[in-house]
Amino acid sequence: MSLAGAWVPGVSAVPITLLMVVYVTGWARLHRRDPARWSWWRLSCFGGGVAAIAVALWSPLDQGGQWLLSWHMTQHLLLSMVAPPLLLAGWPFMPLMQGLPRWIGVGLLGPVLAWPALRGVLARLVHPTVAWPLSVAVTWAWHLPPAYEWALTGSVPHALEHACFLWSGILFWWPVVAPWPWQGAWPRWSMAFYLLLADVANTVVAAVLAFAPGVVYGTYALTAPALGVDPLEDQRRAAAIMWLPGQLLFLVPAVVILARAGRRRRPARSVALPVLRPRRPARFDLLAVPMVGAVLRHPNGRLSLRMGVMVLAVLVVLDGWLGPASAATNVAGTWPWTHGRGLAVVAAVAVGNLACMGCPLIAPRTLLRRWIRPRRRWPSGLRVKWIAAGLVVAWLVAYEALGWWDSPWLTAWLVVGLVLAATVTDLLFEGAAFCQWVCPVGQWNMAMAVAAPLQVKARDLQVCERCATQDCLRGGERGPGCGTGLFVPRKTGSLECTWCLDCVTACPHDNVALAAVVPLQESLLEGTRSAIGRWRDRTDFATLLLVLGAGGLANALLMTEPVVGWVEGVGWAGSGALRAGLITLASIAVLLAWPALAACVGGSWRERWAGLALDLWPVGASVWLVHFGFHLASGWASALPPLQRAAMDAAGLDLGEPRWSAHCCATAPAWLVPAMLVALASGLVASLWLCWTRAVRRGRPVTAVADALVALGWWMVAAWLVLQPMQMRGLIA
Amino acid sequence: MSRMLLTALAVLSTRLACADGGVPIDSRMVGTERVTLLMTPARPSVGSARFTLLGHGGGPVEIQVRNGDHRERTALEAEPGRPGLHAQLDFAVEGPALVTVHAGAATEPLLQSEVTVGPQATAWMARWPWILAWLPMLGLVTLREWLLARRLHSTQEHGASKIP
Repeated sequence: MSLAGAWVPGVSAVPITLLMVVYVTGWARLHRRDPARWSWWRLSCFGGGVAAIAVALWSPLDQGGQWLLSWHMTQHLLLSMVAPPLLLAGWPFMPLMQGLPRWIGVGLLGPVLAWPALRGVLARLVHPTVAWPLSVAVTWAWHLPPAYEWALTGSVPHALEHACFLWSGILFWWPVVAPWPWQGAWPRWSMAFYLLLADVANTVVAAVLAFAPGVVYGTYALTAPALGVDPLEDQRRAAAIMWLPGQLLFLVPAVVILARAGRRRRPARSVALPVLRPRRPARFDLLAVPMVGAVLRHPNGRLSLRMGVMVLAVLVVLDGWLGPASAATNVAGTWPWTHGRGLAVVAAVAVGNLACMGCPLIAPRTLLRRWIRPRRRWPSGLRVKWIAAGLVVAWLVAYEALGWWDSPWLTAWLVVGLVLAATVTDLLFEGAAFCQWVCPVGQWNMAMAVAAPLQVKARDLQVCERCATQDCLRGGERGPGCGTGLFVPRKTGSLECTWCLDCVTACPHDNVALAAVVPLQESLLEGTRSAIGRWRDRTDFATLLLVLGAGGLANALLMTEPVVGWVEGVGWAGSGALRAGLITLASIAVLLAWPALAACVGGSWRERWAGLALDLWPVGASVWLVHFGFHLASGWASALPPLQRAAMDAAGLDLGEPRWSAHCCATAPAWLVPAMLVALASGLVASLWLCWTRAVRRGRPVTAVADALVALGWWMVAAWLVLQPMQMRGLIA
Repeated sequence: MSRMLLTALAVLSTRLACADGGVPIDSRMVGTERVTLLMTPARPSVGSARFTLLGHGGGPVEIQVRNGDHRERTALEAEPGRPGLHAQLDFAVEGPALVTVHAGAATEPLLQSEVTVGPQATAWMARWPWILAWLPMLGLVTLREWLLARRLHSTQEHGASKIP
């Protein structure tokens, strides 16, 4: 029977790929600076180590190792004796630190890695007198029959066994490889004896297995014969693998170390001491990326993007009006609710406000304003977010009450209504009045982009200081200025920024960038914000953010089966639609009551409410990400069949039977729930950090407790709903 | 950006389950061949379990689970890229369950084993490491804040001592 099978990348694929990507990014930077030190050899070594782990964990070795001891032994050899020295020979510290985003490498991990206590513990762990006995103890302990048998009983103990081998291997090989810039405590020649002693310890286990009169591990006595392999023969083969290749892996480095120790030492080449980022590097700028940057910078490039999305919107409207009433088979039932929202939220968190940038609602305005110039300004009394907050609530209530997601016809009218409202508003009023003060979708997009890694920023503030025309705000010969009244050098955060990039075109100094920023950092800034003013005075903005956060939870709650069942069973308030709407409204009110109560503790309620809005937003944003990300991940395959059906209906083409199984049989991938919980955890930790930092800066650390309780409460609701069975909206039941 | 794209690709190409061959629950010699039945998870609970039959020479084989009043029978089938024959069956209730493997038309079971089915694992219990993922993250952030505050404090003290 053949054991050759498929490669199965498990969850370990995510950290391992990320590790390699970060290393390569950092290595490339260092290689440009000092190619002799950061040679291709270092990259090959690290890549070889990662490849060894991949072979051990993802190849058929992993499956076969459960049934044949010799395969399992090969797997352990790769994890403990091949991967660790190769990884360390890649000198991983500097490349990994350089490869991480600066705010993680220097900002988050820097203070922890510089902690003397941690460095002391690490220095002891890699000392030969600790690393050697630890490694030998791990090898011997895991080869005792009860431990070995236990590791074979499931994936968790098996993973623990592998982690022990890999990490003890890294500690063991550390003093041998001495990854730069680490300096060993003992002379180099002593490492040869260190390896020889380890070889003896390894040989003891190999000899026990080789000369045992019977099968040591009972499981293999049952599985190996079933595969046509004599278990005793398999055991001896495993012992031989441990003995001979294992011996080579110890002896060859020992010989090399001794040979090098015998050579006369050349004077060390003078090298500069390593310095992590001696000068602040240029920030990443999406507009400087070839091709992409060129398209985004040109007004017609951006208009083409919007017109492209407009074509899709027209398809949605036509199929919504003319296609079948079943949402799952209609483009209007799937694209906006399953794919559009999911892509918007993922883009917002991964890049920025791309949804507003490509919004089709402003394409007609852009075209029509070539002939019709709006003369009026949006009334000053309406320059508040109360209307938008009310519309967000109305949207969420109507979504449940009218079942927008289940009605392609209503969805089509919703799109048409939004386009008409945006066009009429923006032909009557100057700037981007609809986006700024009315559009509930736009408010959501701008709020989501608060956690984005890219923002519209001035490249060089000194250039802005010398600028007398302020074209980015007021507009000029090159084009209109910011429609929402943002002045780029004084812009804080992403609120009010629709990523229309009119400022990029307007700026005569080419000084506007889509630059990398530390996500959420600007939430803590207290000063005056361009187009907003002092945050603590803007209760309307704060309420909008809190409504979006609470609304996200309410919206997600109404799709969990326990809540849906409860709503259907409630015997009051007339029709089901009214019940769903009222329950949405009540949920938002209850969830808003928590921060309202917390704001009563410690100082001005208004100021606390405003601070809480920014502090709780990461939890709120993570709920939206998790909710819409769930629909996207579980229903992405449902994009094509409705289009195929629509094309066949409209043009009479014979394109074959649409693959409706993508709808009816869609199941969420196994990694999705863990990924959702990790996303929620990230939101919670970011919120807790903001609560604590703001409270400390205000000199009232106690208020952080009340704020943290609200964040934890919202997170608990979100974690509960993630674990509930979900209504697969937009899919065939 | 490339970091995000590659990680996203890694996530999409990932399956959660590690290869888990299961634990042997019964094994016997059939002629000169040893046939072994394996089950995953090692300690089954109410819900589905996966069975693998190794060493069976050929011909149709069926597996049956009797668990309280619940009976389920299905064929063990080959899967591409994996040795042996495989099937997935459900344990309906907590308590003892009898797993039998029948080859062809033979009335005597080829293999038979009694297993104890535990209570259904709640979603919270099954996902607790992910639910608590925020604790180590918070620990890291707290440690960073504490270290920065300590550094600031010691800098201030050191600076203050220099003032005459």
